[in-house]
Amino acid sequence: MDTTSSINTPESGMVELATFYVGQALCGMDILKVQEINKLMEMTTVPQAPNYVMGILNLRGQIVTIIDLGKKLGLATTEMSDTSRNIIVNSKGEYIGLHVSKISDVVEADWSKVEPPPANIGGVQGTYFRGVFKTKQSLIGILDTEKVLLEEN
Amino acid sequence: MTIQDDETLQMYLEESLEHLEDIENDLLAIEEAGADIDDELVNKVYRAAHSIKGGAGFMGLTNIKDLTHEMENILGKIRSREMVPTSDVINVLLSASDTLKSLMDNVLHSNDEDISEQIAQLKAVLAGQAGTAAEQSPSTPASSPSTAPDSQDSCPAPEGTVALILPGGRCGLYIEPEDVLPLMEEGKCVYLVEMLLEEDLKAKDKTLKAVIEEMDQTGVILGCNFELPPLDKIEKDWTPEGTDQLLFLFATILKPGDINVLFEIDADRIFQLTDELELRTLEGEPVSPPADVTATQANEETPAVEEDPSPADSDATVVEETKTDKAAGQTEKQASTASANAEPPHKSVPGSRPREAKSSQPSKFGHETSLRVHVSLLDQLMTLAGELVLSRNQLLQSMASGDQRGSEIAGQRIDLITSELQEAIMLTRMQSIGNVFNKFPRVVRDLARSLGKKVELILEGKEVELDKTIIEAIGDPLTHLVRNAVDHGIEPPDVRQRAGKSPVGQIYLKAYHEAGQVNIEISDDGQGIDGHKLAAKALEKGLVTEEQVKMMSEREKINLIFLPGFSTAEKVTDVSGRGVGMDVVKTNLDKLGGLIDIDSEVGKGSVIRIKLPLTLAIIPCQIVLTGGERYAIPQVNLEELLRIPADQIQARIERVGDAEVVRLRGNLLPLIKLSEVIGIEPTYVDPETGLRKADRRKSLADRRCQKSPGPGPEMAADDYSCTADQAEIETENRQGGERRYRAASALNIVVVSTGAMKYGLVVDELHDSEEIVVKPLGRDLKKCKGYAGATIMGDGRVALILDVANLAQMAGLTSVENSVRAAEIAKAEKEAIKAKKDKQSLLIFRSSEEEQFAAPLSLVERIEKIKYTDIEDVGGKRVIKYRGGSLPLFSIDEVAMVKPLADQENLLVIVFVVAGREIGLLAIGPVDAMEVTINIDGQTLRQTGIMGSAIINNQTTLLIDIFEIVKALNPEWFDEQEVVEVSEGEAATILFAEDSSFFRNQVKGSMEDQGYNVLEAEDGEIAWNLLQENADRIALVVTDIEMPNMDGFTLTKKIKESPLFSHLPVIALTTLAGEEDIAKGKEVGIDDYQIKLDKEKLLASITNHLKQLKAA
Repeated sequence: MDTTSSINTPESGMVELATFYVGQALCGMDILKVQEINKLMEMTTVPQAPNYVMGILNLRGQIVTIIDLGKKLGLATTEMSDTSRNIIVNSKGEYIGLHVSKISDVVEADWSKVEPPPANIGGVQGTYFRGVFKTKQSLIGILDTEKVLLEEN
Repeated sequence: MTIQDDETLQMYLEESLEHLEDIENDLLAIEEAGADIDDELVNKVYRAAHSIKGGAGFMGLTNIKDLTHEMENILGKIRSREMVPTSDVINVLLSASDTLKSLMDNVLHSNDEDISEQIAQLKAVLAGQAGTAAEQSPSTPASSPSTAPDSQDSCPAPEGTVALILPGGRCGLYIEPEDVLPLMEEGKCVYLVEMLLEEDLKAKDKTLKAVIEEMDQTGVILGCNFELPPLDKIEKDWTPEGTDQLLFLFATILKPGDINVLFEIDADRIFQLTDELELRTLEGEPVSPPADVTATQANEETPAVEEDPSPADSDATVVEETKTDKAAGQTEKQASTASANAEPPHKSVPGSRPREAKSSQPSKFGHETSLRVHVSLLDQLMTLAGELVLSRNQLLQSMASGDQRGSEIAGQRIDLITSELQEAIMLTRMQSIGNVFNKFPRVVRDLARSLGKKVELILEGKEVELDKTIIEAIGDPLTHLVRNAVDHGIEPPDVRQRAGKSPVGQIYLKAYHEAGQVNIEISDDGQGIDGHKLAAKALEKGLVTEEQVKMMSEREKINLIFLPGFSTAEKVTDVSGRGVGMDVVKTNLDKLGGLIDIDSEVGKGSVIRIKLPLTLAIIPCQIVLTGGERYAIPQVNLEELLRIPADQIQARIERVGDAEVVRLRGNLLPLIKLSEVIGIEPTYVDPETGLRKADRRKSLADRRCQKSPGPGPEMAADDYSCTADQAEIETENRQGGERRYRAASALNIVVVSTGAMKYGLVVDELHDSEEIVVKPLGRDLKKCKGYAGATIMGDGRVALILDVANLAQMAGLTSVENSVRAAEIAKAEKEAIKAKKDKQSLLIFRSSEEEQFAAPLSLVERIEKIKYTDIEDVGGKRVIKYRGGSLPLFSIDEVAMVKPLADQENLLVIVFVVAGREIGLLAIGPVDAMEVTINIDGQTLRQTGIMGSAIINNQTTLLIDIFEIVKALNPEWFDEQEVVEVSEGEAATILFAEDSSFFRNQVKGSMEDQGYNVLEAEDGEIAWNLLQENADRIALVVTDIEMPNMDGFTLTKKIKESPLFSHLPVIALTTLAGEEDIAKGKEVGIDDYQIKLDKEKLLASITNHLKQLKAA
């Protein structure tokens, strides 16, 4: 599995996942990475920004770049709706907001039960997932946030 | 080595660095003064060096101490006029101060550095003088540099005192000369007596009390190295604490031969003080180096004193010498100061001393970690903070109780306090630019010396303050520029002399505030920068194309120097230099939000101007709105705001090639649409619905050619037909809705500048100017070059800050390309300056598709667009109904042999006013107004109605003579005009000076037509001679301004100053009468200004003046 993202928590023991929907897909990320979740939508668009950047907003005096997680993952555009939220994460000393369609539960997962991402997601998306966790109802794709937020060259 | 605690060391370093900076400049001043020594200055350096030394001794920084000590010795010599501060001497001192600086930069390891070479140099300088000095004064040390320095070195004398040094360099006492000298004058002898408690007293069974009493009876104790209680309070067995070596300074009438009767100690421990304040043994041998270590005698308190780390003050005549044994004193360089903290280096510390050595801890001593702030400023900050707290309480209370009025008041107070607080905090960060400037005298001196040039540096505005970060960042770029000025700007003395300049080159460095910014100007009177050579170089490097170069003005060529890649490591001295790393300078300044611009004249010198913001954190910005989002444009870049009313857009927005430009005070300003550059849809507010709608206007103005193939006037010229067609089509399209004539569709232009480049940014709306705080953008947006950051507006939303330089680049508007647009003007300007020819504003138009015509713009009243069908043919003449009257129309082909007027539906009418009436010339587009310098050929294509031809835009252009045409068409119009002023039956004679033969013939012709006699002159000088030859005939002078040999101003001045001619009216002929010129003209006495080619007005003016003359 992924060895490059050393900043991530060790992949062993229990982990609490904040889960959310990107479009129809249920994704999760280590809850300890989450700074806050808000529904600030007063964004300022940035012309000429990469297409996955929705805009920037003022989070208590700090400028936060909001990223459309759907687009970033190569899925559909995440529409702004009543349920959509920004998950603010702190990455390399900078706040970045991930815009998701809907927030779901916090799920406790055991790393030992996390399976590697299925071979058929592959491509761009594949690299963004650390693994898949299966619950009774659904599958949660565990996001590698550092990779998602990595600067594109 | 003994290192004090960090804080003390830090303080010492800061002080010392300050001293060092002063030292450098003062040394330069001393050098300049040469043999004419300014005591005050030398003393100042001396004191500074001394303070450094004192502290170094205290800190155990032996290398620093040794070095300063040597410097001190030399300075001492200079002060006592035993040494002339030649530049060699100063050189050594300067390099020593450099070494000092580097030692301090790495203070913790300073003792490990090898500075022996430096010391040897200093000693050599000292010794070089010592030989001669010794003859003059026997007191000079017997050139034994190994011991002398050490001894002197350990005894820094407090202000106003003299250190008396014992053999072996131990510190003796400090005396105040004014205490001692009067006693000597009374015939007393002054002795320094050294008694050892054990050896001299206890061993001989004496008590100190007895000795002191005895001394008191035979003389006066002037001082001792312990605290002496009043005599009657001394107890029998009292001995002073802390020392067993007692020193007395004793004045008595006893002669040297008798003195030891009193003390009965070793004679070599009694020394006599000479009237030069030097110690001698009783045999009269000198024992110590000259006492020229005197810090200024009886000087007022100076900062140097306050900062002296030794706590000694004026009454510190009491010194405890912590001497263990004599040998130690001789071999070790004692780290002693006048304070009680002095101690030999490796002796354990007696516990009672408070500020004693800790073991040294490795820590970083960056020099920028602390800042000196005036206490009053801190107090002010505290007060403001207090007020802020109070206002907050007020606000909280008002909010809790729902008192809206109260909240408002509190809000206002907070607003006020915040501004004040911001200002006060800013002040703490402000530093004077002198910090940077002060190092330049040295830079210039050293460089000039090594290059064999003579350069004088003049600093101005050192007190101007800038934010600390900017001060720090600007040092390097400025140094670079100053070095360049010396290296490439100023010529060697012989070259300068040959060029008729003073052999000493001058560099001005000037800082001043302007419009909330700091301006720095670096100007030199050197050889200047040759734009052609730079352009050639840029061309060679492939940075610009040949076409671009052709279009460039001199100024733009010079500014090529800033092109990245223009100046690499390779020196370009062969092409008049000035290029090494200039792009780096520019990049650095760009980072600071600064602007740089160069102006230069070959042979005269260059001026580099830098504009800097006062601070980087908070910047004033203009807020604009485009595409529904707000953007901030830093005020630094803002030149002006321009709003073009909807009904003028057509007239003022023009197209050159595919670029839109606006005419602004005679200059073409390239326009960039913000919405286009950043790829958003512009919006406008619908005046009827109040809704924001997308603005679908594609072009700002009407004359537009979609398919314009490329930049460059040649291309544009070839493109005329296309443009014409296009114009036609568009005119038609517009007939339906004239939306653009609404007020809301007025054009908002923000005129911004980035260094040499200036352009107009078209935005949807202009908002207020606000102070904003710059916040960085996230990493995902780093690639968006158009933004310098973001800020948070009052309503909490984020606005982007525009980077105007990058925007210009994104729009493909580099400085070079910019010039393509302004090319014609720039070129004309350049030539006007170079060839001293006249600029002419011309309106260019066509009558048929093939022929291009031009008419002087000054004669054009306005241009109308009409339909062919609007023309009425009445009474054999063509007219058009206009403002309730009939405007007579004509076309050029009616008078001149040119191709007939194009058969088009849409025509232009160029309205002229001739003989007080309006007349319209039928023409077709495209029209363009140009300010050009042209060589008019008055012969080849001359015919009635055509005064000549010229090449404009690579096309032969016929210049129409509107007067001739009108005269040919309507001769009756002119009848009433014919007023020939005659004196005694003879026509008046007019002296006419004009260098261009075309204009000369033109104007002369029209004056002669009128009946005047005309004497023509090619320049002012010839005119002046003619005037003298024909003094009695000439009644009036008409002169051009720009002429070789003698210009119109000078000529007028001469005329007006001469008693013979001062009554003569002088009419100046210009192409463009600028306000400045008019003012200048008025000053020298020009009676009237007339525009060339406006014959009518000129003749009217001549008539007028002649009448007045006659009446008088």
